[in-house]
Amino acid sequence: MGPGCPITAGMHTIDIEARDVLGSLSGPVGDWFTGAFPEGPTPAQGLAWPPIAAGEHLLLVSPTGTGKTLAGFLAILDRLLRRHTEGTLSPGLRCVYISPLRSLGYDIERNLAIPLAAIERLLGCDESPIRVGVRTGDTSAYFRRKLRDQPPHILITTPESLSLLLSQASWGDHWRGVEHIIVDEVHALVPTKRGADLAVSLERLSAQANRDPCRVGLSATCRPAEPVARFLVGPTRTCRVVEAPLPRGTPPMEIEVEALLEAGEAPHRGLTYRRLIRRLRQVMRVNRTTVIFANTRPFTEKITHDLRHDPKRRDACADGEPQADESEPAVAAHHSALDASRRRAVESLLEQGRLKAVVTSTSLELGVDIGTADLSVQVGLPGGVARCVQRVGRSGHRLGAASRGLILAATAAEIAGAVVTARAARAGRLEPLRMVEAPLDVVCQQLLAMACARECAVEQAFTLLRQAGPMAGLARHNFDACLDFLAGDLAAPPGADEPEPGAAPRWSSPRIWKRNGWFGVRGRRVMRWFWTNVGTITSEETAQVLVDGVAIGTLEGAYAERLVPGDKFVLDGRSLEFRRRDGLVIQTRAGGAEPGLPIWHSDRQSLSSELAHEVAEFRAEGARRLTRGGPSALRSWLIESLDLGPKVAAVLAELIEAQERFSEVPRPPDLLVEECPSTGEPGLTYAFQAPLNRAACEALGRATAARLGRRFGRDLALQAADLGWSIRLPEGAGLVRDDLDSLLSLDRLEDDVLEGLDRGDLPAQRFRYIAATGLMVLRNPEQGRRVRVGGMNWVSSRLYPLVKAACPHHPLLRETRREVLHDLLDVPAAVRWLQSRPVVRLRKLPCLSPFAAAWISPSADEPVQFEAPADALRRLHARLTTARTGEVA
Amino acid sequence: MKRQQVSGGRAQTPIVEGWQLAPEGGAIHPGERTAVIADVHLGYEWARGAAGDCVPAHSLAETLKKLERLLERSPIDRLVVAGDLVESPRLCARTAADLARLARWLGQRDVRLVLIEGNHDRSLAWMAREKGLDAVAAAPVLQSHLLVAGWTIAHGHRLVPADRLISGHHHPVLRVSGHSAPCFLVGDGRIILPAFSGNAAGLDVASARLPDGWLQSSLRCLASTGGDLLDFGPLKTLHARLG
Repeated sequence: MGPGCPITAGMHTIDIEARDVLGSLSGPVGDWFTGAFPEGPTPAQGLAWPPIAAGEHLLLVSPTGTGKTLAGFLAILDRLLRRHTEGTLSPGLRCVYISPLRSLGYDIERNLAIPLAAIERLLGCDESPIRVGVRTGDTSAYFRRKLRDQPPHILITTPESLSLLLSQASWGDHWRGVEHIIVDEVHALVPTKRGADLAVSLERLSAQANRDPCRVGLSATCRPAEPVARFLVGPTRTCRVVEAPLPRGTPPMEIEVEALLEAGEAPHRGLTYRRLIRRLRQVMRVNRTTVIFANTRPFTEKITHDLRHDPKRRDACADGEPQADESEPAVAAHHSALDASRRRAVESLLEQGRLKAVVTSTSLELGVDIGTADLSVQVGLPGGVARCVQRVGRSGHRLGAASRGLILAATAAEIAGAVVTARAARAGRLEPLRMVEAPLDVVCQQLLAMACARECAVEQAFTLLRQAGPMAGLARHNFDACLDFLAGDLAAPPGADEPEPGAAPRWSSPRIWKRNGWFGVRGRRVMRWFWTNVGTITSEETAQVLVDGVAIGTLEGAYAERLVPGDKFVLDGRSLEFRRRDGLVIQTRAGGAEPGLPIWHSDRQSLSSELAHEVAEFRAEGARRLTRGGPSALRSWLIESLDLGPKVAAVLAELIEAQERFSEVPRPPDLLVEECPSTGEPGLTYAFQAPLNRAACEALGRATAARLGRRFGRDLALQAADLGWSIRLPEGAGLVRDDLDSLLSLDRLEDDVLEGLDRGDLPAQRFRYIAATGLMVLRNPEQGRRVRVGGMNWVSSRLYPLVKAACPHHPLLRETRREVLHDLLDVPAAVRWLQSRPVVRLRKLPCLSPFAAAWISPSADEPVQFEAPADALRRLHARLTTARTGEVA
Repeated sequence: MKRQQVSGGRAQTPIVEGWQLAPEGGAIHPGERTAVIADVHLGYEWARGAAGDCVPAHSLAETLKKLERLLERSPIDRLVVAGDLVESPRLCARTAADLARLARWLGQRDVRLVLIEGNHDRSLAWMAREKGLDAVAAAPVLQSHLLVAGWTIAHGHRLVPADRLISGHHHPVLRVSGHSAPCFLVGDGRIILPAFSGNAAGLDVASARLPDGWLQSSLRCLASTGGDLLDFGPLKTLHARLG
């Protein structure tokens, strides 16, 4: 937390005098509220209105569904109305509301429209005196012009649109009268680069207003709240934190974990998937509306499709008759690759209660009022306690109803993770939120944004940036490097290739000019590049999909490029057949049965440090019970202490028993190393089982891979996961017990982590996104100028090494390193664990142990390259030549 | 196909009917003192810049470095670029400047530059004239094909009827362990050159969809390690043999 201004927090008593609080709302607003909500304000609302009325910065922390939005808005509506009745309300922007989600804006607009309409009836006006406008990426050109020419009093927008508007000279004066800024779902923005980007935009906005506007942050439950408040107001302002409890009498959250696997069964995706669909149907029958979270988009699509088209019924209509439910299916998919209009249609069906189930990847996690959802189902792990709480909180929106959640786990490892997550969620033990530390790609984008609006003074820009929470620690030399990059001034290292002294520029298309302590944008062309590329949401290159001419969503570019006419895939829960491709647009038509799945990248989800440790502890405790009292003691302990059903307990018990029989259950904090022959390739695989989460295992995996690679001089394959990592050695290489101590030494650990990273793909892959956010490479190049030679991987396979050679200290390279080391890996946790001097045990097994197979599944290995590509090619050639018989000339 | 030990103890370079195939990605005919390369894509960074990217200048430096190694193999006084010398089909002053530097560099080594038109070379004639390359001793001439020692040299984007053809355009590569090795495809009176430019993603001859007729022909794949060429045998069976 930064120095300087304090954050005042308070836990307030639950008995609020409704009349007192309502008194702070003026006549018509208060009247309308009493009429619409006779039970009175929620604790969240009651606690929020006085500080907002007093003009303080405020962070309101409150669980989902407790009227946070109205808490923020009504007080502001009230002030504006008061001025209107006094006759002092002039046209112009007074309040900016920012939501991280596109669909939320419309929801809010509708939410606001209702009280506004009611108020104007009470006031007897024909038209609302308070004007509200929405500006997002989906807003039409007509409405964009209208908003610019006649700005509303309240603007609802997204972080990207805000940055864009702030960079337009034509909006320059509009910000002067802004008095309030509301940031909704602020907890979701804190740990992301999107949040860092917004924090800077808020400073730019505040700098343009006549008086520093009051900031109101609306957040779901977060513990501790101080980092969130610090994010909202930055290091220089005071913020009041108000934590509102759930309304009195709200029943506690109910979360259950169910296994899709039974004791005695090996994990089998086909089997567990069929059971999943069956269970989902059961659940849908019993509840009015169910929300199903499927973690990844392809899975969302597959589940939606299979829930709609019952295979049994399909067999009955084998002659190809269209399904009865195709016209208005009771199940719909919702995710951000779907077209905006399709998403809105689903949202409105949901609100009207006309959908039995909605399947989503993550977008419905925020905002959109589900209304009658009775149950939230999570397929697999939710990826964190906070996320679990928010997802379960999607249900039971009617005040007084319990939030109910069901986690369906398909493997024993998932079950173990789900159990500890559910336990932590019920106890309210959320992961603490942490801001991203001065991400330089965001700094580059924001500097360009500032330059687009007007000429800027370098010193002022630096001061402004550091007023944003995440940027408080921005170092001056990094800031200068960002400006140099944008200006095309970055120096090449001495001795680098230069065809002629002076003449040739070193970088193409510099974005800004920089002179005498000022900088500005180099022309309208660069501004257009910025406007079409603003934002930090990482997206793959996408192709738009049309069905019979109607846009329904997008597909990942790499997948789209490989399609041949006749290929089938699922999008929006519908089976489609590829017909032809026109550039980046895919034409399709409704396909028949059995589609394949489009591929999208999924998140690198992982348990938190604490939860990973809890899983390790409870596995070890289970083993202790097993040793002392046998299988029945283990099962009864699982059932009683973890509150599990007998089926779920049986699956876990079986895994623990199998591990004890076949190898041993690792006891934290010790390390268990298991050697076994690699599957499908000659050589040995070593599985390292440690009580650490994926991020820490990834760090140690890299370091050990680097050390082994140096020793054997050949390529390795690394797989890191929660609770362990595995390394596949080349043929002929092996380890003995004595090797392991030096393998895990703390000496030069960080250097070896870095080497392990540099020899793998990860930094190059992350660089793609960083180069896009930092506006080095445009995701949306200038119309008609897209360079096709180079392909999809040009940035990671060619540009990354070129930039490293041209300028090793380039800010975007520094950011790549920072992001990988601090955001994706957890080196400090790995170091702490090694410092506790864990005992190391080595076992040789005939094949992968049950725990290793469950947690460290050796599927998507990352190659760690120690062999020069030329040598790899020669080795392949030698192998092929000896295999052939006399074919070589 | 004969193999010949090049004097000076350098690695073996295969010879196809008089054409020495160099691992740098070019074909040299010592008798004609001519070297042929294709798909240089000079000025790639400026084309990227025109699309809005800010990337380091590199294409001229890389090209010259590779040409240096190529020209060391055998005495040459003519360099034929079989199409796509430049990346940018539009007029580009920076590419033109790089072109002039290339011509000057070749001129210093007494190498004549001959240009065959490729699909990216729409504005090449203008760029050459703009920089007064017509007047310079190493005068480039832009044409659709050229006959050298009985072999027709063309870009390869359009069908050229010829018994013996040297062409580029397809950028063939062999992908191994996540790296793309540029490769020659030779056989049946054809020599298909790899891209001289490192920026081409490349067509993976082992797994991608290949142009009509390639798999039915007797083309062999010769992959470059940078220092030598390795014969990977017939293209027809390559996919199967690689497993």
